[in-house]
Amino acid sequence: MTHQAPAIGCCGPVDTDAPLAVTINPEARVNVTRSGAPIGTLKPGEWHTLAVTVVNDAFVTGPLAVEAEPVSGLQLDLPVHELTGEHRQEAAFRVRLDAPTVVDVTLTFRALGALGGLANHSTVNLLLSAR
Amino acid sequence: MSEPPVQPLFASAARAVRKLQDLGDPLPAEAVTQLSKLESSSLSDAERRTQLETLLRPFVLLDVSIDEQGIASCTPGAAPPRLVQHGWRSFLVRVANPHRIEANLSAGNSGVYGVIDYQSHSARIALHDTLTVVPRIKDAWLDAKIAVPSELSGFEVEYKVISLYTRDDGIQQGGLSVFAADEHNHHSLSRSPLAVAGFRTNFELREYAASFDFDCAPAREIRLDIREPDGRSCMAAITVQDGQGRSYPSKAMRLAPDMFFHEHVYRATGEMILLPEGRYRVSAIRGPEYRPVLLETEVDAGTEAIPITLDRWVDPAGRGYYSGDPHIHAGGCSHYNVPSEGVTPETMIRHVRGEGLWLGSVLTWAPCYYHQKQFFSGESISPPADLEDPLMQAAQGMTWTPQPTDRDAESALRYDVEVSGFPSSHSGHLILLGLTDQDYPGTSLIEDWPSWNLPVLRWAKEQNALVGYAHCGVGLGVGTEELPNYIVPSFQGIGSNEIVVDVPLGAADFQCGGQFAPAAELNIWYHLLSVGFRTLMLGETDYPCMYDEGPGVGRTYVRLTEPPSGPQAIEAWITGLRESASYFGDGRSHVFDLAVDGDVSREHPLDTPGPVRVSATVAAWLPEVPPPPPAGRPVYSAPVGWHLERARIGTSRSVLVEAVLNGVVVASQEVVADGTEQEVAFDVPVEESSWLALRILRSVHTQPIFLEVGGRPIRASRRSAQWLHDSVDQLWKVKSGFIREDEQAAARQAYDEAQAIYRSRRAECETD
Repeated sequence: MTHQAPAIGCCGPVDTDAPLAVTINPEARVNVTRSGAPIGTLKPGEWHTLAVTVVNDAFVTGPLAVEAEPVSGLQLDLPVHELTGEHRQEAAFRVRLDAPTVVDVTLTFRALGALGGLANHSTVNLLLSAR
Repeated sequence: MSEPPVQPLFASAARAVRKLQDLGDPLPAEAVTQLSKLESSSLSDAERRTQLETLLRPFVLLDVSIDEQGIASCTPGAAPPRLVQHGWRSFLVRVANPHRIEANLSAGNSGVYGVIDYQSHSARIALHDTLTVVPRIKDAWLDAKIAVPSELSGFEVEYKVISLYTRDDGIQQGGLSVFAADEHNHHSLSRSPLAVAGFRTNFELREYAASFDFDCAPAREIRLDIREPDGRSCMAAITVQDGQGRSYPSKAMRLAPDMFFHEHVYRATGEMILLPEGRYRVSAIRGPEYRPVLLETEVDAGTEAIPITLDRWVDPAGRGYYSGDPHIHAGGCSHYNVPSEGVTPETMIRHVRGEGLWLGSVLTWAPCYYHQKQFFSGESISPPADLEDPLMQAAQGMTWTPQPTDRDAESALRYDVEVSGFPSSHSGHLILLGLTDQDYPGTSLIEDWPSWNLPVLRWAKEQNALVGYAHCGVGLGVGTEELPNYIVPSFQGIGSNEIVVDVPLGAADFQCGGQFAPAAELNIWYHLLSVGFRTLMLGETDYPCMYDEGPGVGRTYVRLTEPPSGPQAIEAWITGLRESASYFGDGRSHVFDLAVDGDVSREHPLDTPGPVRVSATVAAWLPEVPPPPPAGRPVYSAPVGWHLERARIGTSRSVLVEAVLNGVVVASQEVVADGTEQEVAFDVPVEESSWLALRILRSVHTQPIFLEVGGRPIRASRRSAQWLHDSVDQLWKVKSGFIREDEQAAARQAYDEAQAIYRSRRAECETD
């Protein structure tokens, strides 16, 4: 297996249809942003999958974890995604709202356990709506 | 229609309040406390919403309403429009968005063109080489920007932050407008979403801008008369805040050499800071060899200067130990969102001098490689701390002239390379110190470099460079603090990965750390030492990637007979590392004159097994009691990395000095961290050839002294040899997929040779 990625071109915007884009810079710092792709409206009581595109400029392997502060009425299924070191991977997590409502949830992405992002760049807030 | 839920409203309010705090323009503490109580109160949602809006209304400068076409109209809020000349003030913005439009907000104003590159944290002009824009900036008296995150979530009401700059003082009339750039419904091929928003808004017949009579407080340049205790002039880190906790200059926009991610700025004796009249708290420090100096001062019409005398508690250079940080950057990471450029040597030397460092190795790496490599000269330099783009800075009010100091010649930079963001970076990031040529043979692009580290290391060593691994502990944690431990790590990250191959082949000299958990960092070093290798360990910062505070958060002290200076400063320092005593850590504790039976040599042969007398002079400084917790935290927690506060024993002022023999603590002694020099001594039995060091975790660790008994090499741990051997297997499993196919055979051969050496040394070990 060889998945040699271009070494430069890091740190730019990610071209993706996924609502979230995670980049891991060469120093293994995690940056997450909302892309232009819409999240859509959730159906109450049903799981909704949110795609995440991961661009890994650091060859980091191992877990990419997603953490969130609890929000009433919101259930999160945040599986640990296994980074293979490949330059681009697709990941996903699931959200479910119990009832018609709108919530604002803050998500933090972490690779390598101890390392966070630069400043608050590893954190993103999402508005989730169920009707 | 029912009321929208209240949780998203509180979430956005809390974010905006935190943003004001981050920008150095916090709300009054009482308002923050009330907001927190309200968020968790048992009142009805309707009552909480009403009280929240009432609580924040006095701080809202701009009320924005977005219609169904996405056009934003603004009206003045209740916050007094008070600005400060040549400074930034930040305020809340309340956005009513009943049509739930997801868009990106931008601020506009009258009289200012879009000449600032807001995509760059460096606040550079968009066209770096076009200084003709400066007159336009000079002619614009007002500037405004929406703080990130500037995206509207799509909720009906949310709070944002706007920052305003004024060039002038007095009462100034001005307008503020906001544009909502909708990327989701963008159909123009010729205009960006922001251009479309501006185009549509500007053609509105109704008034969409809010008008203000801004009350702009005059600010004057106040001279900082910074002095060493002996009266000499110098550079230092200066933090200035007013009674509300606002930082000066504001962090809302800082021009190099002032960084938005610092609370402090670096100023030399006689340099200026712009302040309006008022009362200020000033703190000054020059790295960890100094205690922070705190003072309160009133700036009034008669104030011309603020006198500051630094408080040095230890002088390692006076003992012959010279500090260096082998890993700092002038571009990438926190410096910039557009990291391809970075700052100049004149800015970097200011930061290095301000932290009292003798040497700073400015490492060029991938994001800024092609721009920053122009500063490589193969020599150490100590340039004047001039301002970058002085015309641009003058247009922003920075009209002061950089001042030389008595201590300028005591700090130098050396531009070298970190192999980070290169094809071999999966094998760990290499630091190459003291290069004479920075381009790998036959390459013109980064992509051309080898895809594993050994060829790079051998090429650098041919130049007599000192070579090793950066941020050694990243990806080497194994879930235990036990040291040494024998769990093979996953090698998932960018730590000392290929070092297990390179050291036995004689190609790697050191690893750098002092940033993460000791078990993750030191374990691999201890194992290499325990099978007889002379690997060095250095303290580094990786500024501003791992740590933003400044250069020298992690540092290395090397014993030299004379100060490192001139074009060959790094070479002298490297020679000291190879041949003399050194230690690394956070600079808050120091170990001088580590000796075995009075001998400070790195190699101390013994004829026969038996006890040795280990001695050293230790100095450490902690405040008498732990610092108070930061606002919002119940207890003080020391920073993540190495920090002497983490060595404090209970609530005492004492820390533990440990003697380590072959990785195992064999003796220890408490010392009071009151800044005085204290003698420590231990009698240590030596049964076989060994290595010995002193440490105070997490603050300082010495290089080992090697004790070969009866001429036998150090083979102190069979399990260490096995761990290293097995680590090579794990490394190949994880990393070989990243090595180009045409390099795999050579890499595999090197891995095999390293394992053969470990097997041989394992067989030579007499103890487990």
